Amino acid sequence: MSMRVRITLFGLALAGVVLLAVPAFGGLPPFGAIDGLLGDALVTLALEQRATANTVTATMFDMRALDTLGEEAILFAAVAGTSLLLRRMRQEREEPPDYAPRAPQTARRGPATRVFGVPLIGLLSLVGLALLANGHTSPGGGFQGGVLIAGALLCIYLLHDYDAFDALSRPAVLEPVEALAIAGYIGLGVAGLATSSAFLTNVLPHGVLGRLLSGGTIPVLNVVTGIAVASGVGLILAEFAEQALRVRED
Amino acid sequence: MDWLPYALVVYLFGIGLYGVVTSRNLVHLAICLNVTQSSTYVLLLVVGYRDGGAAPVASASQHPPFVDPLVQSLALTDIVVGATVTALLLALAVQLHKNRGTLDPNELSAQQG
Repeated sequence: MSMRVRITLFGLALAGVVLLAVPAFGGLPPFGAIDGLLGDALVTLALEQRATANTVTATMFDMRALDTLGEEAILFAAVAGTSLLLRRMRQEREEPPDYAPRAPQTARRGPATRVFGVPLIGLLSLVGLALLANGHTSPGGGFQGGVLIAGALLCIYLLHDYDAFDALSRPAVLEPVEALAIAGYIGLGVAGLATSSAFLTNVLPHGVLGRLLSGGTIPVLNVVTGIAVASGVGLILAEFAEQALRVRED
Repeated sequence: MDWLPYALVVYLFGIGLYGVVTSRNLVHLAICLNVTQSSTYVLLLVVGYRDGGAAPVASASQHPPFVDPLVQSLALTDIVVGATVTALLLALAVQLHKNRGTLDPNELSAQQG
């Protein structure tokens, strides 16, 4: 269908959505005056019973830890899907990593880029690890820290050269790491089954609010999730880089 | 002015979908889908907001009452799903460009062998 028809149909549909949205949003409690009983209960649970300052992380890795396991499964499926979509087709060949030092994208970057870039890589990794480790006492957590570490991995390619990035992020290296991290999450859940009656119960000592070792299994799950996210995102980035730089038509 | 956050949600939703409908480039389409998804993040956060509530991380400067942490964790999950979908869409775009030589969705509609 032509663009005009498409836009007209879209306009009609959007008008219908807005017509339905007005009474729907109008029926909600007024903005800022919510009846947040469940939220208050979660905050009380997190601060008093789990000794975790970051109530969002406590909700994600303790009260609703099963949802986070599903989220990691989504990430796992995305990595598998990307690997499948960007696989080597029959009429293509894949050059080894040191194939194209002649190609501009895989050449080493200029000295100015490397001088300022390599410390940035270290800084990004450290900030990511800090977010990971302190995810339960300050804003942060497994997903945020993991994405930053994957960003540091990408910066190795952007600011240094492709060979170093490939050595760290090739599937043979990162796939076992990701699998082990997700297995660790499930293992911690099974530990909850073994000592109590529910999967993913918080079984480690809860500690004192604000300390690094507090919250029981929450910081451990944070670290494990961060490793899984970092390796998963790193794998996706490695797939794209490999597709762009090393896959050639036969 | 209490309806402004909800108006923002509807606006983001509409403008993102408009970009998807009129897109001429698959990468642009993936980003517009991201914009549409961000309208759901805003809606989740708006629904959990409490007047005078502090950020839901207890510290020296943030004391209860907090804003709702449950919808914030839902929004976190939502963002991960959004990034996942973007990765898969971009992988599809790469393969389509390789096989058909074009990234324009209008030229990809006909079934080819």
